[in-house]
Amino acid sequence: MSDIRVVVRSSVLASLRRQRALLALLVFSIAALLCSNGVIGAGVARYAKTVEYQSALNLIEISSAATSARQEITKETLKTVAGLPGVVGVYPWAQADLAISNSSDWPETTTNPGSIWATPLVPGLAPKVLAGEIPDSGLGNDEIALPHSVAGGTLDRLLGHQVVMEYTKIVGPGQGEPAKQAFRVVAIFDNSVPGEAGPTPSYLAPGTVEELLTNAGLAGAGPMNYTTAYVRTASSSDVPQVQSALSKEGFAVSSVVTQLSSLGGLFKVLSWAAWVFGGLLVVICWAAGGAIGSVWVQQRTREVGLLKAIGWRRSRITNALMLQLALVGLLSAIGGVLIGAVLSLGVTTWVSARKIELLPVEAWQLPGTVVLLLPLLIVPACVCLGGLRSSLRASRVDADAALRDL
Amino acid sequence: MKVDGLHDEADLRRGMIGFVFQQSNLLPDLTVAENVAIAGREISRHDIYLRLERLGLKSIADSPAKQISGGEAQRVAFCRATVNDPVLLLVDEPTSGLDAANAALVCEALASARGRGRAILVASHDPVLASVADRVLVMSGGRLV
Repeated sequence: MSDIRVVVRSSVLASLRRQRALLALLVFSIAALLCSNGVIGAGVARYAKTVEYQSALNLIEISSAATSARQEITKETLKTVAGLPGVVGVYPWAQADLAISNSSDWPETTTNPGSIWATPLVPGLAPKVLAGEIPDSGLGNDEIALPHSVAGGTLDRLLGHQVVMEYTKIVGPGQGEPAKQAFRVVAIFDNSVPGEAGPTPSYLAPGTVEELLTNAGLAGAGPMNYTTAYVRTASSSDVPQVQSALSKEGFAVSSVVTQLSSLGGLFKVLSWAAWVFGGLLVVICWAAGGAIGSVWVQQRTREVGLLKAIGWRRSRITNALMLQLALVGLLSAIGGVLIGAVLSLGVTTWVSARKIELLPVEAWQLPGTVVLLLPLLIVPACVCLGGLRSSLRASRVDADAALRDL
Repeated sequence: MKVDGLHDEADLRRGMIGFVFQQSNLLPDLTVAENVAIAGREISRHDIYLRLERLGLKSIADSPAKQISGGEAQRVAFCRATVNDPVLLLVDEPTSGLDAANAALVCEALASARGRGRAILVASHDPVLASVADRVLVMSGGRLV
């Protein structure tokens, strides 16, 4: 029967009971940090990733209207573009003239809101949604996002409704007739600041816009030429290389990312959020572990005195105390990690359901594996280091003095 | 100073001297057997149970020390003090606070140790205990009288 093992085993259980308040604080701190990491850390990291890989920063605009353009933008030339290394998507851009057909859908039945230009929804160039939702996967063929403000008032009340849109179909040279198509309004977006798409655009799936353009006869008899198209790269770091390739093909190109070189560093910082939380965890564990270790050893001076009196060496006593502290720290860490993981799953699900724009956390997220494993090393080490001084002091208790005190 | 080849204080305490305190001073969260084990040098579980059995403590060997009676605790303390077969046993008021039956068991244990050739130094106010001693020294006002 190993005497150290005997003392450690029973004392650890007793310590867990006696120190439950401090240990609960430590466990809660670990759990809270892991949960925060799961929610904010993962959220921020995902946000940074989203911005880097799915925003306008990895879009390149190509134009056939610029003076430097030597290449037309057609379906055929866009196929070539799609085959370039680093390119993950190509989106031709053109607008079709739409109008709301029924006056009952107008903000004021006496005021026609005018043209609402059908615009292809390019991933990364989505407008700011005020109500409703534009799905991550893009709009369906019968879905439309309408502007908030038009002549006569707002279109907010159309959200969720079927709206019949009208356009002119070319039926012959100089001849046209009204054509109608119904769409379901899935989002209302902010058009307070007019962009490249004009003051009152509407957004539809790229395929739907192309179909409207064909129906409207704008494509003409031959292949349709676009003035603008967007090319998406795998990440913003691929932009310069793809831009260069496009220039060689004769397209006039421009992108945002080359003008924002400092953003790369920012994204790296954001994606390191998980590590920042890891550092915070170290600091808190160090402080809490130190307090627990110190208080715990001080409370056990009487027991140490007895062990000294019956012939335990200083080194043996110190080893036993450190082993006990490490076990108490490890058990606290395991408890904290388990609770933190469960909390993280629950809170990310809750936050995800709130759909916070700056915190696009997915549901059922756990903190990173490294962050989960880190407390299992850090907490026992911190508790041991915190209690080391007290352990050494306790092991120096004079046996005779201890005998008298006992 | 060297005693029987040992000069380290811990070695002396562990190898040559056994202590029985006035309050048994068992570690309350350990079982009876564990309280004995922490003083023993590489002692097997079987040996511990054997020693406890000799003192009539086998039935409580696995009970937590905080749950046993004062008499039982004092006998466990005695078992702990003698687990390494020390040559000198220092005993402080071993029958203090015990009833007659338990005091008699402690006296019996001391007598048994003496029978195995151990030197036992007992400090006590108990005349019964004094009656079984080989030599009795009376102290008064801090002096031998």
